[in-house]
Amino acid sequence: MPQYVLYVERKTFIHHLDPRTKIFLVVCVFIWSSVFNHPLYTGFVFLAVLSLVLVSRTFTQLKLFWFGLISLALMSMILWPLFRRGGTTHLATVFGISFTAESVMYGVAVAFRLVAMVLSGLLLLTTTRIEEIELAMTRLGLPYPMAFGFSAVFRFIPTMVGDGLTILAAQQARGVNVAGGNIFSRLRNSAAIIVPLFITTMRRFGDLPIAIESRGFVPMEKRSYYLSIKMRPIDFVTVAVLAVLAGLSIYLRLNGYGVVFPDVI
Amino acid sequence: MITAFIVSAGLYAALLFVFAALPIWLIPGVTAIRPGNAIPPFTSLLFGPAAAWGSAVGNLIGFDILGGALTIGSIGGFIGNFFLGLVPYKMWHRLFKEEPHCRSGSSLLKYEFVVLTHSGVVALIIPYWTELVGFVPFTPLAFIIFFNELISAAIIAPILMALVYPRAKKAGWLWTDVMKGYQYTPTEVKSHHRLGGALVFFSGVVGLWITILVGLGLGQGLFFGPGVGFAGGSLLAVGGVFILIFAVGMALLAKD
Repeated sequence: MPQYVLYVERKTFIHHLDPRTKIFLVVCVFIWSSVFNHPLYTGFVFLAVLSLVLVSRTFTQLKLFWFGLISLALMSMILWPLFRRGGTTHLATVFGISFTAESVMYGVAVAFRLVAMVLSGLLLLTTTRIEEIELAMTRLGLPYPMAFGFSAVFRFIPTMVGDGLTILAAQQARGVNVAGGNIFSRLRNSAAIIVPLFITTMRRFGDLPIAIESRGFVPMEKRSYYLSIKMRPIDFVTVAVLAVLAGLSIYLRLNGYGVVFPDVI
Repeated sequence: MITAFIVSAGLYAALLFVFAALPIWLIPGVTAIRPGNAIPPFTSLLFGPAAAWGSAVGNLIGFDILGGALTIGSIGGFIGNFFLGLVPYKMWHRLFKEEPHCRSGSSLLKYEFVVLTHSGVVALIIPYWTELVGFVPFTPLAFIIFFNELISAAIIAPILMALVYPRAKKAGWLWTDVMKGYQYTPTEVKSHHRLGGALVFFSGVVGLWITILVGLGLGQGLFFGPGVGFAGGSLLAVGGVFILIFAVGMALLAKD
């Protein structure tokens, strides 16, 4: 069965941080890894994020993602030297394409950048409940109707996936082949799953607006929440440290540190 | 509208999950066709603006959050998928008097034109963002997104429309049934809408391929001089012009 929730219950420093602090951490990882394009610097950012994952004791939860992360890193190391051509230190010529040490280093730097960003996003999702993220986004200024729509979609995805898998099994039992044949026949046959799923979904959710309104839903009204989040002193200290590090990274970049190619991100 | 939004977003995200177990490989081990990609143009024509937000949120949840791919690239994914759901309904609503039932040759042809345009638009916007932030190079990603989107949507979505559109119309599920005062198809096609549609098509399809060619190194010496070392700078300049043309086209389509 698919996994809908990445959150893992642990008693760690990172789990106890306010979700807004963790969202700020993700933003800072994006800044730190984006301002540098030298592998030593982005590699350091990657190691910092990896150590946070280890501290949060969510490493085992991420086992499903390692293959994808390694593929992403390899793709970056292969593609960027092909498309980000530049530099003066000639390394090799393959099939008429000249590779420089700088372009290869840029590819490695971006690989670290990509993995650090994905890991920071996963760190947020494995240490924070979806409800907490939604509440944090509302507190950060996201209009409530948008947050409500977001949480409603999250709530109904398992139902829709369950319906989809039931329809898939039923259609396969009737002889619809979505697992074999050429691309065109498989795509054509997938309509036999999508159409009943769409009709079922529309019937199921047709009464949703009535149900919402009968419970007194007023989109822009001031609301109270069952769940509560609160910034504690440790959150303020963490945010301050993260902000200083983000400022420092921008300062270093502006002064020419941490770059292989100064003209690009 | 809330139902339309939830169905658009949820169906898109759920189908990404359901078909994840049955990948249709385009390049084995590298990229697979996602049948779920047929959902945005389909829901766009049924649900209008709600489907635009639904596509953006559906991709954010189904791919970025549940798939563990929440990165700075997700911003481009959100914007690209928003237009994936916006362009088909906006173009049809302004340009075509015929309904998108896909049960006649001309309706099917118009539908495929819209699908081709929206595939080009998303293949221009998302890779442009990933190139801009130094995430994934434009050229290979644009190839993958364009063909992935086009193949799924061009084959599956007309079948969905032919089967579902008459029922949806009868059941009062179309966006004009909720947003009263709007016409589903125009009684007359205005000249600025025609120009807007042409600009969106030009930027999304012609512009995409010109940008891809620049990414492959073509014409850089001609347009930017022999000293240009990077594909990135010239590619961003050319792609930026086409995104600007796309924005002008959408603004013309949005104008009454």
